[in-house]
Amino acid sequence: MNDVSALRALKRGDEKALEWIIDRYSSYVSTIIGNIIGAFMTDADIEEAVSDVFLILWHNSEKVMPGKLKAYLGGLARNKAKEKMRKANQDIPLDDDMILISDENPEQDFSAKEQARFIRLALLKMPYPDREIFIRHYYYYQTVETLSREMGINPSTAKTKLRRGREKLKEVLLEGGYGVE
Amino acid sequence: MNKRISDMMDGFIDESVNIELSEQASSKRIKEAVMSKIHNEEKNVRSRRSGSFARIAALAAVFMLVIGGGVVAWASGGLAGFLSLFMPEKEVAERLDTPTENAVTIVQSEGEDYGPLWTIDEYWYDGATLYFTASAPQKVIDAGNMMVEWSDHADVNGTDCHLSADGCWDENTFKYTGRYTCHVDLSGADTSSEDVSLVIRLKLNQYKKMPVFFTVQENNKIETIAEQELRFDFEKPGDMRQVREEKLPIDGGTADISVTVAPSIFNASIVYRMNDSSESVNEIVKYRITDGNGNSTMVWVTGIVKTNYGDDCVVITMTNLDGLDPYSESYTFEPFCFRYDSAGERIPEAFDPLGWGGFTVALR
Repeated sequence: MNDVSALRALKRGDEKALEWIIDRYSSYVSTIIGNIIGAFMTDADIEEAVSDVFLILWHNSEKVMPGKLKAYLGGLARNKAKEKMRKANQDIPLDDDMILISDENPEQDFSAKEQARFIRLALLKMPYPDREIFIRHYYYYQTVETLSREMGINPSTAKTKLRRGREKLKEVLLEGGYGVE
Repeated sequence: MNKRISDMMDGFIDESVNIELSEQASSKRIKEAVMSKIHNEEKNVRSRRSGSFARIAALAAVFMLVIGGGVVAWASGGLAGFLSLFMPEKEVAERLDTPTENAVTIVQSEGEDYGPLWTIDEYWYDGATLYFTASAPQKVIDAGNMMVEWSDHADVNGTDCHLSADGCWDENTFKYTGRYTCHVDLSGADTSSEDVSLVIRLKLNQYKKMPVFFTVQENNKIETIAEQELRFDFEKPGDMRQVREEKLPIDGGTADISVTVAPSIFNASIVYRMNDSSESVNEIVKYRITDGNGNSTMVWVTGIVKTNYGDDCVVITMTNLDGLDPYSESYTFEPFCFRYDSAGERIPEAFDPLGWGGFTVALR
C-alpha cells in the first residue's frame, strides 16, 4: 500500500487503510502537535488531539487531493493543536512572532487566504536555508534550538536568518499596500 | 493590527520540510481510540436510522431541529405528532399520557390572579427525559400584549434540571400562540420514587407592543405582572426501573453505577474508582450485558464523558434491548477490550474480556 492507494481505499470507507495511514503518520502528526502543546499539556492530551486528527481525516477523506495526504495531515495537526491551546486559554510562545500591520485601509481584504498568499510570496523570496528555517519555526513551531540541531546550524545563525525572513514578509506586505511596523 | 506570523501561516500547506519525528504517541493506542470512536459513531447512526429513540446528545440536536416546527407539530397532532417525527409511532402511542388533572401548586406573586400560567396538556416520560406540551391561559393569548415566559431551569425532586421550551410563536404570522412544547433532561435528577415533581418558574409579561420572535423593540415597555412557581406531578411509568449512583464493590476498587431500564431504553453510566491507576476505562470498548434469565448481548460503549467532578464516566445507551428482558431483576456487565495479535495488531471483530471492571447490578 502507498499514500495514493491508501487514500483511495479510505475514500471507500476501508478501515484497514485508515489503520495503515495511522501507522505511517501518527509520529508525524504527534510531533507537530507535541511542538505546539507539548510544553503545556499531558501526553494524554497529545494522543487525544492526534486521534481527533485521524477521525477528521476519516470523515473528510474526499477532500484530500491525491499526493497531498501528508501535507493535509500536517495542516490538520497544526489546527487541532492550536484549537486546544485556544480552548485552554494558553498562548503559544514563539520568538518574534508578532508583526504590527497598519489597518489604514479597512476595505482591503486581509483574509486567511490573503495572508497565506503573502506568506507564499515571502517564502519565494527567501533563499535556502532561510526558507526552511522560517517554515520550521512559524509553521511547525520548532524552537530555534530544535531546528538548529536538526539542520546542523548555529542557533545564532538561525536567529539571523529568521530575522531576514521576517523582513522579507514585511517587504511583500508593503508591496501589497499594507503598512508594517 | 497585531498579527502573529504563525497565525498567518494557517492557510499555508507545507510539502517541503522533513521534520525529525519523535515518538510522542503510540500508534496502537491511536488506532484503538480512532476505531472505537468510528464504531460508536456508526452504531449511533444505525440506531437513529432504525427509527428508535436515541436519548443521548444527538437527541438534543434532533429536538432543536424539530422544535423549530413545534407549532406545526402541535397543529398536526399535538405532542404525539411532534414525537412521531423522531420515534416509532407505536412507542409514542403506548407511552403518551394525559394528566388526569394538573396537580398544580401555584405560588403567585402580587398581581391579578390569572390561574396557572401553564396547563400541562400531554406528557411523555421515559424515566430520563420528560416531554410535555403546555398552554397559557386563553385570556393571556387573547390579550395580544402578554406572554408567559419560562425559566430555563426546573426543580425536579429537589434537583436543578435544564428546561427547554419553544413553539409559542407562530413562525408564519409571528403571533403568540400560548402553546409550548417542552422537554426536561432528568438524567441528573433523583427519580427513584414513584412520582416526579417538577417545579417551574414562570412570569407573565405585559408589553406595550408585542415582541416579534423575542426581538424586543426599543419602544417596548415590559412589565412583569405575575410570577408563579408551579408544581406539576408526573407519574412514573410502571415499566421503568432505575438505580442511581449505587456504589458497588468490584475487583480492585469500586464503581458508581446508575442504570435506567424500560422496554424502550437501557441506559447505564459507570464511574470506576480503581486502586490501580494503570487500569484505564479507555481500554473498554464493549460490554457483554446478561440479564437474570441468561439472555445476553454485546454492546459498544456509547461514550466516555467527564462528570462534574472530572471523573471519567462510561456511558451505554441502547434504545433496543436486543433480547434482554426489560423486567429482569439483575443485569451483569462484563467489559471487553480489543484483541491484538502477537505483533500488536488489532484483530478485527475480536474482543477479549478486560479482566477487571465487571459487576452485577440488581433492579427491584
